[in-house]
Amino acid sequence: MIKEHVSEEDIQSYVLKESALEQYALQHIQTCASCQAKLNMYESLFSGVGEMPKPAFDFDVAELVMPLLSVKKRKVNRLPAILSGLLVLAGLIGLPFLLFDDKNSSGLQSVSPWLFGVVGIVAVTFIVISVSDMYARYRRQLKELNFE
Amino acid sequence: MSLPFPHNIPDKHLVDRVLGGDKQAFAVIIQQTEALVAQMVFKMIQRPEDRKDLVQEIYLKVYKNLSGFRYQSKLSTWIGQITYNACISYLRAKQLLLPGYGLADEDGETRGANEAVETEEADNRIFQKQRTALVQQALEKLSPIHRTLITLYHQEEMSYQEIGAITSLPEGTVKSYLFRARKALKENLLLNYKREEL
Ligand SMILES: [Zn+2]
Repeated sequence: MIKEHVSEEDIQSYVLKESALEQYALQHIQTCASCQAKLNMYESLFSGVGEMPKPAFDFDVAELVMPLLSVKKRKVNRLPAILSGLLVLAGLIGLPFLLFDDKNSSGLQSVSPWLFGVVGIVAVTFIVISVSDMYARYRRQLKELNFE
Repeated sequence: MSLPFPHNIPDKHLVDRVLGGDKQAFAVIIQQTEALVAQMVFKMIQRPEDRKDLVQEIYLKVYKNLSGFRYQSKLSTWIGQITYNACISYLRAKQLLLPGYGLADEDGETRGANEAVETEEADNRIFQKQRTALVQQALEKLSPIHRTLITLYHQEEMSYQEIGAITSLPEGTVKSYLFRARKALKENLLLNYKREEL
């Protein structure tokens, strides 16, 4: 028989069925009053904790909290709208320069028409996304109203 | 308060309804989580008069931050996390939390519980009726955090992972805190029993 006591950690895990004990440890417990007492104590303790009555507030939590709530506004994500607005603005500012391209102005020569096209496409995409998002939100609100 | 909601409504549905302006859905969230909040508040806060203010603060925080809930855990776990943090802030403000999370407070008294007592098969004589009261007393001697961890694991049947999410502690730390808490609790229980015997 192994004389060393089984560790508290191993006894806890065993009682909690988190892990099994090695054969030698089980044999030790069977012949060691101290380890057996620990094991019994943990079993009793865990049952005792489980049996303890659960606490409850002596006031109605909902009644306490509900009157304090302000009407919640759904947070609207305005980022796509702002971005598309900025892009459209940039496009509008850039447009006259492109239409009346002055060969002597070096700064704008690098802005090629295809780049302008790409910016336009991106802007249109953002507008489409924002509009569809707005529509989805509108549908959801309608659904919620019907649901009430 | 009768609520026009069935049980076990998915978190997402409830949250969406609250965010859409449906206050009644928030009452359901309260109803579904107040038992957990009570467990934690009772274990952490001793003064009954402070519990009410704290519960109010907790649910207002939940309501205010609900749009930031990302479904990375159950809603109840997230509310448990808010509850835990609110209780810790309260304990800190009242200077009731010892440095190092007040985990060493049980050791002093429990050193008296020696192995000789254990070998007396003390447990056999603790009848179930007495046991609950003695366990309760033993639990009260633990630090607020140890008490809460024991409650979440043994009464609320939460996993180490869930407890880690609530307390923002790594799973390994939760395990080792729980090991120490159980050991201290067992020793407190032995001492209580010894006193009963005298
Ligand atoms: Zn032994």
